[in-house]
Amino acid sequence: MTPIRVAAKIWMKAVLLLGISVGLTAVIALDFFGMLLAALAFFFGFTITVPLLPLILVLINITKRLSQYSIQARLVWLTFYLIVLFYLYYLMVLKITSIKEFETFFNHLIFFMAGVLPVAVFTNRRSLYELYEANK
Amino acid sequence: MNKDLVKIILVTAGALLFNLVFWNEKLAVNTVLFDAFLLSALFFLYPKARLHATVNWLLLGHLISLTMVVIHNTDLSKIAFVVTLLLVAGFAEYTHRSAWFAGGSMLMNVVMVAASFVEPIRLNRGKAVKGKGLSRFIRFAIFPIILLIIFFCIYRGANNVFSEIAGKIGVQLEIFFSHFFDFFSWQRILFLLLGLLITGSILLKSKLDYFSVKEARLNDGLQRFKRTLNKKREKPFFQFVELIMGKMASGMMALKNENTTGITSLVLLNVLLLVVNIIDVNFLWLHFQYEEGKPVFKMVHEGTELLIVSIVLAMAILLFFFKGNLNFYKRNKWLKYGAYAWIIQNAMLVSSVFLRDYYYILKHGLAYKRIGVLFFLLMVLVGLITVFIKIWSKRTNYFLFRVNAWAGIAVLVLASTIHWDEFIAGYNLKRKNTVDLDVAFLLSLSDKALPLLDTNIVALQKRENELQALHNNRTSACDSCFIEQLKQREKQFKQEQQQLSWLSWNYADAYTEKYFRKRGLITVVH
Repeated sequence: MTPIRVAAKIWMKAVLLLGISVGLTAVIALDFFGMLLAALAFFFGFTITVPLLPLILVLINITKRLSQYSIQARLVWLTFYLIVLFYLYYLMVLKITSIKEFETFFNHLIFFMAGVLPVAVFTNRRSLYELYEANK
Repeated sequence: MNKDLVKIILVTAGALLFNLVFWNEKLAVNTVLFDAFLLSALFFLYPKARLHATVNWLLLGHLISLTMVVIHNTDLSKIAFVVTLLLVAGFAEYTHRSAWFAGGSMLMNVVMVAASFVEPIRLNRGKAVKGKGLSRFIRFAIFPIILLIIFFCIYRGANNVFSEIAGKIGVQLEIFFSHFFDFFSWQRILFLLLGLLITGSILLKSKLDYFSVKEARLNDGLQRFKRTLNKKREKPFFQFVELIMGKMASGMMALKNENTTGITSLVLLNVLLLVVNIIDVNFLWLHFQYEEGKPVFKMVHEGTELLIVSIVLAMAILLFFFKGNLNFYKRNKWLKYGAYAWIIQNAMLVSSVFLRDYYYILKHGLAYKRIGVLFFLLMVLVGLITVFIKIWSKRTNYFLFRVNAWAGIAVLVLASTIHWDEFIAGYNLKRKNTVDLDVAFLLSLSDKALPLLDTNIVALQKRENELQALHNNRTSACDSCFIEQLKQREKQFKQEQQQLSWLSWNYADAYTEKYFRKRGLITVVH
């Protein structure tokens, strides 16, 4: 298992889960236009968050070196910084687009993100474990 | 009790305490409560720290800063409080001699706090559990959920009743989320996390002791060492020097050539600086007078920044020449003399910059930047003295930075014992007849200066009238502008105080509040 593969897996899972959770809420709560918007956001989610991939890779490579810590601690560290990373990234996107309507959406997004990222890391723990073991 | 468990309990309790005492409050008497908890927990977790003299000295500095937070409540006292607290923790948890390295270790604590918090909780000491359950569930769920979303959209568009029901569910969900976010305030949760981060960073020692290991290899005394040319060439700086000097930088006579270059550079620089110093002695030290019609800043203030940069650069040049084996070179006598002369001349330059600042203060009164220059000059002087010691007794750069850091901390703690805003206002208003009062600046000072401004309202009004006359009444400022501004400040102060509880009590605010309560309304001059 290579770090780039693990990073891609985490990124893909995170964006997919985030898209599904936001899409599900939008489908129930919004009208047809809102649903369309949610679908677009879902597909654009992958494109927009591509720049995060190298940064996720950096974080994974750092955790590889934290051999003094238990794997559990390393996973938590990774999750923590992934949340910080996604949060800062969305904050930046919000700042650049400066669309006020996005703010409420952004607040909900953080809520979903905080739930989705631990799941994305947790479900990839086997790959991460293999990666750390190979580095011993 | 298990020490790991104690750590978790202490950090969690610290985060809760942080949330209770600092939420919607300012750093004041609440800091004493939080600090008492933090220090007790720190010395409980690292009991041997109390035996270290460095920790005790730092603790003294920290307690002085804490007292100043409660008394003066200035930004400087708060900065001193945070810096000394971090250093107390750094020296208590790790083996350090230098504040720089202790700071590095504390930075590591901050970066690693998430891992350090979980590390004591060992849920599964064995291998990682096989990730079948949740992963499988997610994998199975993704495709059906996407299909569900698509068909839900289709049916919603096709069936009105279904769409209505979905809409109702949507409204309920919206209400749920709005209530949810009302109940669980994001800000409060983030504030709790901040408390966790701060308490964890101070109490939980990181497992990465990179900085203490790095520092353990360093010494105060410089030691002669032999480095091969290939090793030297690995460094980009040497490659740069070699590019300019050619074979002279790498041949058999490299050290001698370095010595010659050093002597030549220092002689030339000394001559140049001597000319500058002679001009300064003649102009500033002996025959200084304010010239009519010429702004003071043109005469004395301009160029101060550049002079300060030149002094710092001068120290860097000396550090470059005395970085290695040139210290042990037998014929380095003239290089050393040149360096001492350079240091003395730079000390003279410091005095000249001090005089420039002094003349400026005499004419325009005190201000933050002018006081900042004084402190900076003090630090530069300490720097020059330590550079002299370094060359004289063959000390390392590590020694230089270590001693200067301690000097910086001492200056920071001592500087925090003065309420500079009140001092500036008092100094300038006391000399209102000789100093050009910058009333706009005085009105921007912190609340503790308000009583002083209020008692000198007549002088402020006079200054405003003078300014209006000077500008031939062209300014749009009203006659009672300063009074209005003062009233506004008082109003703001009162509003701020009403929003705060006893946790934000501090002497500076209490003093201002007492003054306004006693005085009633601010004096109105007609």
